[in-house]
Amino acid sequence: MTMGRREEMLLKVQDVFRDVFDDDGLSITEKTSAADIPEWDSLMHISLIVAVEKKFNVRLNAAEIAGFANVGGMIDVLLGGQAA
Amino acid sequence: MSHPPSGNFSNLCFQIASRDEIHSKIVAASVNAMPADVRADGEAYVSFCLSRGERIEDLAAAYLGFTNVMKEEQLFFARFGHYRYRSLHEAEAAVYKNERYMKMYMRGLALTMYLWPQHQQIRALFQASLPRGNGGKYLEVGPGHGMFFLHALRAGGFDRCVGVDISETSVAFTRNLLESGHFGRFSNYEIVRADFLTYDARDKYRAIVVGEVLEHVEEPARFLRKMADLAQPGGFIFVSTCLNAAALDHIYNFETLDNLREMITGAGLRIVQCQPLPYTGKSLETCLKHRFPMNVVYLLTPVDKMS
Repeated sequence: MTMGRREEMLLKVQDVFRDVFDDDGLSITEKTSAADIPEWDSLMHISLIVAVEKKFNVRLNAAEIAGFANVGGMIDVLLGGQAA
Repeated sequence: MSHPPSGNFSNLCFQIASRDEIHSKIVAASVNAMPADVRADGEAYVSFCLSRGERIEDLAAAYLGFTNVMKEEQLFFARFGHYRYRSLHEAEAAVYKNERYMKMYMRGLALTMYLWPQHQQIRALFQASLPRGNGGKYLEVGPGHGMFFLHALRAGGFDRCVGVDISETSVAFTRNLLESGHFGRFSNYEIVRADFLTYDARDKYRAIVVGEVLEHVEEPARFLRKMADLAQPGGFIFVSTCLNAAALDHIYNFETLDNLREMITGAGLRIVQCQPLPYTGKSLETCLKHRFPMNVVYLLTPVDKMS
């Protein structure tokens, strides 16, 4: 069974989260938000944005960053950019 | 912070937290560990603002407006490895000559003394270390919101206190604070709008305070040398600054504590105490390795020129 695009993207974003939060066992879902990860504060949010930009070779604008309220929002932006 | 608490300061914290979930973690960390006397001071400051016709909503908006700009600048720094602006001219155009921005900035910055753990610690170190004595003069460069200057007037026992600030808005902020009568009546002070490097100080000072200023100047080494020249022998100098902490008017990044230490000692100053203040929840090593923002406080004294 082939993995859907969102599932595939989720795994890639999870790699970014594990690297930024320095936790190889960190598991995320599309609903994961800052409320679920105590260390996810303003500084780490910036670290996530930059890490996502480097991983996916994109430069996010303010509107796209505003959509990063949860992992699902990140995936929407990343897939939206790739689809364009 | 799940329901509106009582008290103006607590109400302000609740409003801030409810508008910015991610940033609310820093506010919660600061408020939960806040000593009772600091909370009382925060309540007094909010009370002062309300007495000037400001509302809790206005204070929350000022604080969040300020922190949102900081976040944008920190993102710029994380992407490109340097601050956006590098000259005083650029900082003046973007910040110091922008009255609307300055009002938001000064009010937001004052509130960080209570809402940011590192700024709480800087304030506590300043209040604990400021020597209380008989007479002499106090000089503060960049009083900004005026709260440190106010403390010096109330607690330092100085004959005269002088504040020098490059921003007309900051000068007005400090004057309004002191003239309000809300925190007491004072007459032994002057607040001057000037560039410290060209300001004719004329006197020697028992205490010199330069809090969160060196990152705003093009030549911090010249600043430090002038401070050394103006301090009395054995005088007290309080310096706080930051590394890798972006703001719209931060133009000089020391990069490392070694760089800063060399600049300080090269200016003819002896380090009495150094207190690094890494970002909340991060070690000093992590901050330096990943270029996370951090603050640092130095207590200094001029090197004895006769030795």
